[in-house]
Amino acid sequence: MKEAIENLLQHFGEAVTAWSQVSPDEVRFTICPDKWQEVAQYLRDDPQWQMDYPADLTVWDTGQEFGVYLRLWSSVYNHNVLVLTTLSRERPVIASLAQLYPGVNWHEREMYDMYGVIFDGHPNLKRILLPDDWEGFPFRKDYVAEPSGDPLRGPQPVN
Amino acid sequence: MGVKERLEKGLIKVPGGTILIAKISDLMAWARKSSLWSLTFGLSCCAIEMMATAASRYDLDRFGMFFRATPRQADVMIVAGWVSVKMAPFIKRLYEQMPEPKYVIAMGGCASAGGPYRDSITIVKGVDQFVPVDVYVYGCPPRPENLILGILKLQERIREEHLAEKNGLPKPVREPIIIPETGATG
Amino acid sequence: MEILSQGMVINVGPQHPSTHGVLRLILALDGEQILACEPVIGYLHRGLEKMMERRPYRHNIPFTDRLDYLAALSNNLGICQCIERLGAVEVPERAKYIRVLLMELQRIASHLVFLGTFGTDLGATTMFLYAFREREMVLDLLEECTGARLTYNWVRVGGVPDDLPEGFGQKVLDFIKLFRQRIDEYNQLLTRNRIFRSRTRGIGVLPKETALAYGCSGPVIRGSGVPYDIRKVALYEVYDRVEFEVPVFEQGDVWARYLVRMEEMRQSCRIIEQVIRDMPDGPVLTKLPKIFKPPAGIAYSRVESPRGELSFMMVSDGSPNPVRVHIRAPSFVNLSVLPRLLEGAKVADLVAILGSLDIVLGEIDR
Repeated sequence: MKEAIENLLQHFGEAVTAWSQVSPDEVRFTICPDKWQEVAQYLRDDPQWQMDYPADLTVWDTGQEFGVYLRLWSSVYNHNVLVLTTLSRERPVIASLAQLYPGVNWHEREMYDMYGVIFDGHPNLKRILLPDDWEGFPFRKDYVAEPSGDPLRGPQPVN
Repeated sequence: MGVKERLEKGLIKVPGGTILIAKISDLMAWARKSSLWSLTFGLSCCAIEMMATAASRYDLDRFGMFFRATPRQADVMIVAGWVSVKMAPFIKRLYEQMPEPKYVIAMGGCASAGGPYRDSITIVKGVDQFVPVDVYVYGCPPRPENLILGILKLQERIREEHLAEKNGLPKPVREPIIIPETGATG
Repeated sequence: MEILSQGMVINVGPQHPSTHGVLRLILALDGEQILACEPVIGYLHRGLEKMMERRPYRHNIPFTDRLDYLAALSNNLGICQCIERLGAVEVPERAKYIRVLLMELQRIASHLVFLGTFGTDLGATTMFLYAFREREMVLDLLEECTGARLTYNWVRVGGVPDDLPEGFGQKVLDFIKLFRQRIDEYNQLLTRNRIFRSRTRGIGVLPKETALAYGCSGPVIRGSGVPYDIRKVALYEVYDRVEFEVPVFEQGDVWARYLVRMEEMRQSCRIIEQVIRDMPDGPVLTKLPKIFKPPAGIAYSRVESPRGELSFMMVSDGSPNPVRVHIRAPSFVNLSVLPRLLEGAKVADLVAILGSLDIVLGEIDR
């Protein structure tokens, strides 16, 4: 594991802004958003990592910016990697991993649905959980909605 | 006095056998209440309790009720689970597809009033916002005994219903029956 | 002779006897063959993750009961483990054993519902009545311990709320003895039934690489030859101290997934017997301060629910409410592989394939 981490840090240099080994089989990397796809591809294809199982992908809103979280597992080595990055509120765009890992396809759609994060290169980026004509992105911290008066339509966003 | 007792009063023994004299509305009420077919409309957790009520231990078939998948053959719709904004038009359409006379049982806190999701933006606060409800069965989820009590009380009400009520003559306003979580209404 | 045919698009609507909840499938058909399938979900979306952000950490535990409502205790355990990791809370030994006991009983109950509904989907309605007969016994045991039949809310941050009732261990052992014979009955009904075998063998084959690339978990991936079980991979609670096997089958079809679940019930019986034998005495709950503020950071937890890998991720900034709670539901990911499974399958096999994935819409839609 130590050697694999060193190789990755050497390969990506400054794109990795922080990293920590939380336990013998879990590493967390914080990277720049423009290297998102390259890091994921490296982790999948490199023979020392072989992260072939996409466990989870999600987004959260701190109030100032969006954080993106990707968790991978390797069925060969049984180690876990968390890849974290941040996106700005004005331009929440990041590369899509749907071609690399088909399993994150629906996760990315859900994050678009809830936060409005655009996944560049996603084959089918449309709403998945909310009704298709819903306006606004409810999970954002600045989403305010008030009842619309019609029980068959949910609350409508105010701003 | 139950409809069975009323019917028994109309039994007259004559040489050669027995004649039964009864009102047609009594017979029809008895037939209708004993054979309520319900629409399989389980949405979420309450649906599992509804399945358990229909299964081996708390058998619903002994009350004449079993589940039909199509609304065209159903008498009663048991809305079991929370109703979201995306699902509401479908529920309304299913209700409209059911032929008269039809009844609705709102099972659980979510179908009655929104349940624990009152501050959710996608949940309709109770199915009675767009569909008339006859029985509210509270609980989260209600025990099978509560649901059976709700069905029995609905059967009592149907038993007393007159044919005239269902034939386009002015209907009396029906107060919904409420089954609280901890026991009979008395 | 060439048959002129026209493709059609049909809708397996949200209300359907065998969609296991409100799932809508839009199918493109060419005669009997399915060309493409698009699942439409979201009919049960409540925005739970957003609602959890408005409440203190421990107030969110009852919401998790209603996620995967067939295995409510697994969800409770998942969220409590995540909060425990965020706040570095220790759990007493006896509480860990009680948690494992309840999880395995819950696994048996959930697999019984799978058996019942799977049999009903394929037409074997008797299986439904048999399975629910045993499930009522499990629910009696769980009700005696926790007070509820379906939404237990019986795991807390730092342990379990209260100790097991008197004589509980013996009752569970009596049930296990009876249950082992009942599993043989189910095998007679279904596994040795020629019609059942021909309807499930070779249907809906999921290759190993696809299962890994899609992130499937639970019996879906173990039926395709990957021995991925969080109980063995992450060794949480006391799973490192009990002996059990993880059933893995290679075929990847509906039959394999069914066999995985049948065998898992037997293994759960083994685990329960060992846990009752080895349970130590001691406290069952670590006391926490009234206002619980974990340090800032990100933590995640993984639990093997009867459906697969259930994972909670929480982001904390030191305040009493979480900044973000994310629930990675196993059925959400397992359902995303359905279009691949249905390509080229016949319409008549749709129900068997969907049933073998064993999805629960409550956790898909959250």
